[in-house]
Amino acid sequence: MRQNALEDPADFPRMALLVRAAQAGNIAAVDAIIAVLTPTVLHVIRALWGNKRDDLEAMTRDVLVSIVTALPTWRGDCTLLHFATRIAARCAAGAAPPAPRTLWDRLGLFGRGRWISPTPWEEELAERRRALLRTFFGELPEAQGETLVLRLALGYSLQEIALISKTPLAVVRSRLRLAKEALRARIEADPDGDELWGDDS
Amino acid sequence: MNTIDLHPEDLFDRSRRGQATERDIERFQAHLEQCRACRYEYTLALECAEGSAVLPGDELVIGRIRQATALALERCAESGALIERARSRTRSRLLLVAMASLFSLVGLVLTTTILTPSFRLPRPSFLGRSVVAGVWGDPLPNASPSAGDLFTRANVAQRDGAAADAARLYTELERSFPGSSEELVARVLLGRLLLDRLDDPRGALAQFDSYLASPDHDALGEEALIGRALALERLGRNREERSAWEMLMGAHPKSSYAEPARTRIEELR
Repeated sequence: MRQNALEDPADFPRMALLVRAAQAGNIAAVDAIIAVLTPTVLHVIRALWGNKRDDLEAMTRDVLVSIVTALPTWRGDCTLLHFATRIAARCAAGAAPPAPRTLWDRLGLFGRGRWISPTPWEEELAERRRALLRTFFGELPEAQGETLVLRLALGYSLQEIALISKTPLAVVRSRLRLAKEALRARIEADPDGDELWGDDS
Repeated sequence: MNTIDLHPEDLFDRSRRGQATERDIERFQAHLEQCRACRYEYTLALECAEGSAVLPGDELVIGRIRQATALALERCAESGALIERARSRTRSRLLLVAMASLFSLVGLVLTTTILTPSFRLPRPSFLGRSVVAGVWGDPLPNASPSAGDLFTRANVAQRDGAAADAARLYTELERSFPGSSEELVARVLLGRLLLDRLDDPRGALAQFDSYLASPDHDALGEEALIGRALALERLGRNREERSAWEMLMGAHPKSSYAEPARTRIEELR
């Protein structure tokens, strides 16, 4: 389900060229980086927050500003996508919760496609699961959290994550395994676990 | 060995990307029955994918975000480090141009005063239309894309894996806006594209050489030298390749390519 618009892992060397040009003060390169990263950052924000928030565009803009601000610190030890994802996930996980939804919103009487599915209750459960995921990212060691964002939010395979993070495949596999173990422990310790996951086993 | 060690990640990917066979789906479902960690992960992955699905009108949303980001960067004094740097470079270049213009003007005044030209040369046809004609005569169509537009479109095409389209747009940029800052960077980007994706080391070499020959090149000098050496390697021009690697080592001894360059120089001895 990964979107075509996401950065092609095989194109990292050329993206690195753009970053070097931006670091040297080429304003056209800064613009090009923003153009290239906008769909990816929007994708991460929507993955972690859903697409119902009114301030998604502002959140995406703020993350892009953070990325451009941090570009001078990029030393090429990770890919541009990894660098951007790291910042996007950190910003998205730490963002303030959305404004309380109105009664009409909660009843699902207005808005795109809400007549059909999911029901407001299902939506609420999904949002609670996403909230748990955002909190969980903050609790994990950084490298494991990044691996999980690339896997869950962006849908990359293990081989692609290895390429993106410039990390051996075995290390990626190990990070993902540890993250999944931690996720399972976290969910099983959650008092709302049964309700959220329909898991009575 | 517990079930965590046996997560079928490939099956997970194939199922998620809609590439699983009936048999794959059966095996994956059987695994999900047994493995809570994968079940949680799969649920979250599906919800992330649903939340981030492309919506109608997303192109407009992305355009608005890009515009808002550029505005925010303009306003944000601190985060404008890169932009400020670019501006100060532009300012210093403008200052140089202004000084040069001033000297030229003084020279021109002196020359015209002292040496009044006795005749005027006609404008040769191969020079094309004069700038003045362009400005004051028939207006140029304003629908043509700017250097920035072409550069962005080329980079987006490259990101989306449309290498041939990207190459065409970079070439159009080079033809339409020679000497612009976008065009200068595009030479190296096109060079790598031709080398890595389009199997054209000769074209790539021309791009790197052209970049290195430009007096304004600085940001991507190291990358252009690396690309040049790689292109020469692909062309089998070993002597020139060796000298290209040596040039890289001389100019950028701490290059990320220093180790492969040293190895290659040894091989070519």
